[in-house]
Amino acid sequence: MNIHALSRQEVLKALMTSEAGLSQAEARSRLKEYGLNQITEARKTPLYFRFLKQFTHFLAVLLWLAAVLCFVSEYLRPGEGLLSLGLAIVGVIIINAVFTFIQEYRAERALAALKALLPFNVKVVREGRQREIPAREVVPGDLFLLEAGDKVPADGRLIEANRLMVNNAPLTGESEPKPRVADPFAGGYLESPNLVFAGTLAVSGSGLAVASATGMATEFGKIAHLTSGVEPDLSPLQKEIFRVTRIVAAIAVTLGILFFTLGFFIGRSFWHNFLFAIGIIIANVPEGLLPTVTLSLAIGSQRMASRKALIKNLNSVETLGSVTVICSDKTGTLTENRMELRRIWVPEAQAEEGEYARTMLLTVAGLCNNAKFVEGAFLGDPTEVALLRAAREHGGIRGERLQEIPFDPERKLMTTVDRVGGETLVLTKGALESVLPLCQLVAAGSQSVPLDDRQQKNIQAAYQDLMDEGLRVMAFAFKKLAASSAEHAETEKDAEDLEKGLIFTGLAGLEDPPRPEVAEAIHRCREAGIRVIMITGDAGRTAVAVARQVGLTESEPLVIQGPELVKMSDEELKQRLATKNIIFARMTPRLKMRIVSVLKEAGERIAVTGDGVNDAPALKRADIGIAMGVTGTDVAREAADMVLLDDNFATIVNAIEEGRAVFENIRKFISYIFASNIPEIVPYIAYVLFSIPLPLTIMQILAVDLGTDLFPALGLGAEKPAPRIMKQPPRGPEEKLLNFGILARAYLFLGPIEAAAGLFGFFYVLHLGGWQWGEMLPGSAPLYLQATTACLAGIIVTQIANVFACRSFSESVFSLGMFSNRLILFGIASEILIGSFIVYHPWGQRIFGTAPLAAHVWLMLAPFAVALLLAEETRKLVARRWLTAARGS
Amino acid sequence: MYRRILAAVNEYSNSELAARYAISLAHACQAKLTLIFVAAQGMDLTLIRQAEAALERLFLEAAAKNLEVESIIKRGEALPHISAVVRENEIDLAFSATRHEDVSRRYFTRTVARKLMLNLPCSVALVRVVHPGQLFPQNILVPFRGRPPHLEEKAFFVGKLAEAFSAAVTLFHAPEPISRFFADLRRGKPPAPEKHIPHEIDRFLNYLEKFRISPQHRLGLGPAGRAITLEAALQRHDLIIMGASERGLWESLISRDPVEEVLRETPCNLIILLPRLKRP
Repeated sequence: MNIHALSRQEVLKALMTSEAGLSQAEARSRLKEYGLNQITEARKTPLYFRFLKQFTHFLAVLLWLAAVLCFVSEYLRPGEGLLSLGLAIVGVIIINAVFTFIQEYRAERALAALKALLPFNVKVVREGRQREIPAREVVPGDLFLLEAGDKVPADGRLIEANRLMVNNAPLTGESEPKPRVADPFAGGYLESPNLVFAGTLAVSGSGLAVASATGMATEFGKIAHLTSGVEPDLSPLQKEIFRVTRIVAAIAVTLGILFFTLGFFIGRSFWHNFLFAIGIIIANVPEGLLPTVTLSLAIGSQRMASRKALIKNLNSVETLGSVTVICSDKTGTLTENRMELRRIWVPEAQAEEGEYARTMLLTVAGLCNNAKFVEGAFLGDPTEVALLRAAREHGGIRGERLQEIPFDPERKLMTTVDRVGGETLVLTKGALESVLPLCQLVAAGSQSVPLDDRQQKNIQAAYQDLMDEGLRVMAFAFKKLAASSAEHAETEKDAEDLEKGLIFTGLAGLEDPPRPEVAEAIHRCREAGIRVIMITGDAGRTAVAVARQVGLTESEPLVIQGPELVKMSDEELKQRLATKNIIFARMTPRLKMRIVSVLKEAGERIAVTGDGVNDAPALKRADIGIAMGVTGTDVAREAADMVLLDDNFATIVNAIEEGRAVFENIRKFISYIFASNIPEIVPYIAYVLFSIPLPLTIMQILAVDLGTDLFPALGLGAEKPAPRIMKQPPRGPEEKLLNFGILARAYLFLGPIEAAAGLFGFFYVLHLGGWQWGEMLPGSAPLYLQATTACLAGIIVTQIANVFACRSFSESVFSLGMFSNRLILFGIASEILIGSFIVYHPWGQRIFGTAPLAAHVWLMLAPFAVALLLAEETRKLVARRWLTAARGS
Repeated sequence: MYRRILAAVNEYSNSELAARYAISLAHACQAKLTLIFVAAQGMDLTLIRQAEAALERLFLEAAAKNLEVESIIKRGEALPHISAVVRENEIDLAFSATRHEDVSRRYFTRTVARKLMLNLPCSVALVRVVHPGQLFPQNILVPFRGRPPHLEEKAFFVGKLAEAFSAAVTLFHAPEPISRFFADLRRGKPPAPEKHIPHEIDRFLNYLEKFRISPQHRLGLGPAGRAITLEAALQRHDLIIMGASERGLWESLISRDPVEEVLRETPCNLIILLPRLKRP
């Protein structure tokens, strides 16, 4: 038989321990046998493997191909500078991989640090003595003590239980505390009331248990294993980058093949055409895209961290921006996770008489209570803590407990006999339906009046009022024991006798108050087109009341309770989920997982909050799993993509705002980077079609893509969220990162202006140098070097204007403020510095094949920058007017 | 099939718990049980007494089940003494325990458990107890891979142990897909695991039927070690019975060794069986 079915002595024998506990030596030996009592990070991909994965995603593979082409070309035609180019591309891949890896590793470490903040000690009995040891040193066979407020350190079999109640919510999601006993149980292992499970919480009473499993062998550990079994999907950004790189690859290869074929028909040699095709491909591949995306996500994650949201995976930053539904817990996320006495109702009475009833109610609340106030802190069941706090604030009546009939979930009652100021009182608290039938009188001043129908109706009406406010209602009653009975009060009396003929004294309404900032956050969600669905383990009425208080629902919401959902088919659930105001109450983590799955199937992008270990699979299943940093379990934090450092719902909304901004910013710099592809491609086409010297070398293309463009693009990646960003609906799944509009703007509008600038510079310098059409110049000729440098300068100058143009797709740069993003100014300064190095420094000249330019060449190029900015401002003006007209119609 | 079973006991509690599986199996097979403790030279007296006490408890437990049982205490190195007892007593199956300390080493090299497994001239059942509170399995998981050797003996072992505890048996097969290294590049549906069920499973089922066991079948996908651990955690199995790895050290280094992985991360008690029985 397994331990739950054994007697006390058999349990000790089976687990090879004794009433005195293990010896220290045996405990040390068992620590070697079973290992530390801790949840290890289940099945983590090895670090080296995760690092290697940074080299194998699609864009990296594309860059590897480009590098290989360069090395092949260098081998076949040495001296063309392709070796340096190949090495530079490999460098980009490595730098990006290292950077991404470090970012994600740092987030992981931050999480580990958070975990380290939460060690806890446990009281064990070893060698007959009580000792306090770190929970991770508990071994099977250890006897551990549990008191109210203690976290259970390991799975254990109780051998003593004194009114012990445990909250299994972290494991099962049920928020109601469960009573535990020490008697053998003949049923199933998990249902056994004599077992306590690691990670759960003792809320009242005390007990002594023998550890039967530790670490990953506990039920908690088993769920930790499961989290590694849910394979996360690719994030929307990963899918989009995948798509963009495929488009880019297709364009590059098509153009490469096209011009290779064209060159063949024109009569150029194979090697000439081959090198040219490689040049075209390299010009099309946005080498700077990968590091810029990574850095932009990193900036987003840093900004989120400063707003109390820790992002574990960089790609999750953008996923947040596409969230359409937030499935939120109630307790701790929307509310403050502490009970508070909000209202007291006493029967109809005169003012001073009412005061007596109120005092008696608080006497019952304070004395018929197992919560404790120790060293400035309240310990115990949250409801009892709230009652004790209220009683203490009222003056803290003292009494001596003589007897207790513990709270029984079946009876929904608790009764104590206390000696208070020379009187012996029977004090009872519990559910109204249990307390009221025990009462014969109602407190009315220092006298009591019979509990008649009218009084009953009044009490029921008051009860309904309190319930409608979403309060948890408790009823209170008492009676004085006659002197003769009081003499025997210390002996056990039957509950029936004690609880007969009580005086009803009133009702108390308790609540977990909503967080003050939540209402505003929900309003922002509504404006941003994001649905918020409350999924709670609590009762429907409480959930509705909280929903009303935080503005989650205005009309009567549809409330689906757990048992109802169990009977519902997925199709029915899908239909119900279409209801605007919907609340899920009395939910278990398993049902929560089902709701998440159905929402995902319906095409929603879901953020799910969770704190319990059983929430972990749902957190993994969601597009964004959000764990609570303060109250969450390690397993939940491990499974989540984002950890809220303050457990606050408003932080989720702030993070979504940042996520949306990141998507917008990625679009902005894609537009910026892609615009420079055209002035890189056009010179090649001109070179083939018009038999002119090549206006821009491959190394110069790389100087733009990985040099001058990089920092301004990063500046675009750091743009702050625009105010309107949370006033528009979430982007739909059909809305792509790279769409025709963005591509057309870059390739057909901005790109040609930049190409014109580059070619103008090239021909301007050639013309000044006396070049004649059709004349081919050697690659080392000063005039040729100067002309290609002028082409490069044309691109740099117009890209400076372009970075301002790309700050918004529709707003004028002048309305945004030229200096509102300092990183862009820093980016432009870097661009000028890098450009100057390439053009004027001997090293730059040697590497990139450039020659110094005279000032008048720059001056000749400047109007192109102005023209680009003006053209873009005109386009934006037209776009704005068109949008306004479209909205008006 | 098993007429004589041996259980090696030492000063660790794990070995006593492992020996309880041996007692249950011996009871189910009506086999003779030999309990042995080999005290290493210079071993602390307290530890010797601890092991002797365990031996005594186990002896009494076996005797209470009317088993023919003997206990042997020797001094010296474990392997030569146990090998000699196995030869002299014609032992069919030896139980040995392994612990966290052992499995934290790669391939549990240089441990007594590994030495016994590699060198004993009989079948060996290596037991890892992680949950002493669930020594009586109700739900046994038996991972199955293609063409396992000594199929009949493995089925006998599973069948008798299930019979001893009146436990349900689940046969589990997880075909290992090609590397997921290029996961981002791959598209399309995951492979259907049903296609990869080995034919030998029917023979194994036929053997099990002799014990009136009709196991549940379950399929998993992914690296075998991971799939087995997940299945055991998900379905709340309380014992896994696996065949010993036949991969060499190099093979294990290159590709992963599922047995080693499960041994390290098992969420419930585990028995690794190395069947070597020659006679039926």
